[in-house]
Amino acid sequence: MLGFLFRRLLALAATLIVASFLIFGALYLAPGRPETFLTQGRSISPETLASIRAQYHLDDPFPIRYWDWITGVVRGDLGQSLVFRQDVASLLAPRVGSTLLLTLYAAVLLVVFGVLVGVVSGLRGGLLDTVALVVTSMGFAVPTFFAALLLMNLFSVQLGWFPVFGSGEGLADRLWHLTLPAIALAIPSGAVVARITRTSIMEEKDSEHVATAIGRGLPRSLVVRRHVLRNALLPVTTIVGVNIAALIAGATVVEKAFALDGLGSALVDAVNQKDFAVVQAIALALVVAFGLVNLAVDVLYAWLDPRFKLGGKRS
Amino acid sequence: MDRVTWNVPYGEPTSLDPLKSYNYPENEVLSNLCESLMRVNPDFSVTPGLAESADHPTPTTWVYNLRKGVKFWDGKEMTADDVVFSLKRHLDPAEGSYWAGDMLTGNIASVKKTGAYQVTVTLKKPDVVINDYMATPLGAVTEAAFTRQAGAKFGTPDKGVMCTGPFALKKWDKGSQVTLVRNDAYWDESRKAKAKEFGFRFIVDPATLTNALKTGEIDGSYDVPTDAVDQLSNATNGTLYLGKSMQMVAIIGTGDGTFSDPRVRTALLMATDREAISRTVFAGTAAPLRSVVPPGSYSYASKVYEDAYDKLLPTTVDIEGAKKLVQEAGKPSGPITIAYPSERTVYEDILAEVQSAGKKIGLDIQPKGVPSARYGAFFSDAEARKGYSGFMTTNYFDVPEPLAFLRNHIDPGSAENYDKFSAPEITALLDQASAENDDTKRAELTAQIETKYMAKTPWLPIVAPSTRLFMNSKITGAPASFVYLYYPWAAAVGSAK
Repeated sequence: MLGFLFRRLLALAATLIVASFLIFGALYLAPGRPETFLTQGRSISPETLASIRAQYHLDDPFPIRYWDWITGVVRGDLGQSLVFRQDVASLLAPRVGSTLLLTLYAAVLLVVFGVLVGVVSGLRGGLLDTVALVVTSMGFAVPTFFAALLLMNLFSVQLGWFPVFGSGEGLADRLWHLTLPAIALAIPSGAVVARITRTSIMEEKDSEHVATAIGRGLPRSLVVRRHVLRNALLPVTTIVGVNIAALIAGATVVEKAFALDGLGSALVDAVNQKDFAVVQAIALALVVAFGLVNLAVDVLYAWLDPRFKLGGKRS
Repeated sequence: MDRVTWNVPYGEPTSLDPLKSYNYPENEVLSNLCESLMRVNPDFSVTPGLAESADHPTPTTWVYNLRKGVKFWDGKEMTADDVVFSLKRHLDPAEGSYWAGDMLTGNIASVKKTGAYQVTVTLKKPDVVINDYMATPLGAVTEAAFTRQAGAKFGTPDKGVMCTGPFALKKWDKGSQVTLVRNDAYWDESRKAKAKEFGFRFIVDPATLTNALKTGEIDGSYDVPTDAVDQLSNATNGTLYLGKSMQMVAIIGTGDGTFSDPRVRTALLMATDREAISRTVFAGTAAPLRSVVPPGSYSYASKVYEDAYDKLLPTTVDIEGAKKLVQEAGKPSGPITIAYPSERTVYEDILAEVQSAGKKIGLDIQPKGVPSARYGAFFSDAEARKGYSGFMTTNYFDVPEPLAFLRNHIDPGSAENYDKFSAPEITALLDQASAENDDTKRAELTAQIETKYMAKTPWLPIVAPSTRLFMNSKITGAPASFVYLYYPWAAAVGSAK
């Protein structure tokens, strides 16, 4: 297990190096010069422009700038925000909590409701299943942004149960503020998880080994737990993992809609303002989060299915 | 009133240093913190602010006699040294002031302390307009010692600022809010802040902002989105006010291709139904516009300006006249590509009308959405504008002085002269007007400039939007005019009861 983990961490590090280069290069190639975003068309003097370029080392060649940045990151220095003239780390630190809590909250909703709906509808069938099918179809048809607006209108404006925007202070208040955003975020991926779980349960239910087990007279609840659920949950683990990773990307939309002070909304702003260092730091953080989620999925998979050889290829 | 929560719909400020405050988010907050030598009032008059009076003894000198007993939030008294220090920061290229430019700071020869409470600004050539700019962050006064000590961190969430305004900066929670606290030692008894605390949030999304206003989580906002006008005018918990504005929506011609012919631009303007745009796109909250100078900005000699305005090309649709002009121009067939930031649907709607107007007179108008991220560069980078005949803008006056605005468009050295407009005769008139102290005479010269300039239609004026202010019925006092960028408007906001 340790060797497996070590190999996976090495792979993650390699991914990060490649990703960091791509992230840095992509921004470098994007059109428009950063200092023009700062001045927004004011007629400022060439001396002033030159001083801004010098302050942020905008004239250094690409390899030097990349090297300065990546060695800084390794030392824990994420650089300076061009727009806010602040350390990127101090700028982003207060935002990490919001995004982390939001995605965790949505992940819990996704797992609990996605798997629950899938299991119940797969096992029970009938009317319940039909309802689940309709609801989940709507679930992935509705764009996150639209879901956010619907929820906001119904539960904040009409009923007044939840606040319209903001992240709140203190854990209870934060959870209250993040409930609608987390639901909006979890809806599309929750629908996918529910569908896959349902299909997977149905396949297992009809499989030979389940028929054999029932034929041998084992109690139904035991068959469901040992044979149906355990086997059905294998593909579900992967799909849950992929969808949790997708939540991180989806958080951007939700954070904008609910005006949350998270990394996603900071990313959108920073891209718009061409704030190099901030975009790079957030993009890198997202890659790390993605990598870690995938790693966790693999570990969980290995634990669920002992036949799956650690470090081997999954089929 | 304990606390007012307000929204800045253009997003979070990037800095509160007056040198870096050049746009909506920064100025809407900063105007309540840092005061300038002069002040723009809600009726657009410009009167002394931190200066008690401004004298103009020779055409190239402006003398500012400072108010005595004005204290910074930390209790230190404002001195002539602080004023000299603050003004000189704009002149230092290393400070990178966004307000530095050829026409303003480029014309300043020196800034000197000429008395314990007196500062004299000497110019290279006469300029009346610069005194109005002393009401913007160009004339803002920050405490010299504090500013020096904070260095590059001045105006950031870490260090904040040190000024004299009716509110002091309490806390800036990056990404979520800026909180101001009342300055109880404020020098002007009659204008002390009513609310104990003033919190700024930065909701950009129109639907979220509308909901936050309707539920009362946000007490008020300037510039509420046009899509929200219907909903907010029917809101039961507050009122939507429409006020005098210095803003205008226009298509800026880049002087490229088919669009380089003034006859083509004029024809397109004649065919465009600006009245319909005001009615539908702006839900009646904007007026059709004839000039790049919106009539809201006439703060003096209005009669002179109004007479000249009335003689400009009217906003009624004239398809026949437009067709004739297109004919004269040799019926150009090339496409006219007009860019707009794709996130702003209001521009899409305007350009749909412009496009159909073009079709009626044989011009091929092609609106093209560009992500905001790239759009910003259109205003400063000729490279970004390449291949476009025009681009959309919502422009505003910094100061209520038509001359200042026209100068920015016409002066060959100005960054806002996008189509390289140049007419020596007009440039000469600009110099003459800039040196004219008499308001009426200056208005006459400026109106002449405007008439000559608009005959070429370098920009296509579309509408002049009103200032759209929404206030919850719990509060009252925010001025419903376009002064929230440079006037301490939040001080007037208090309980409605």
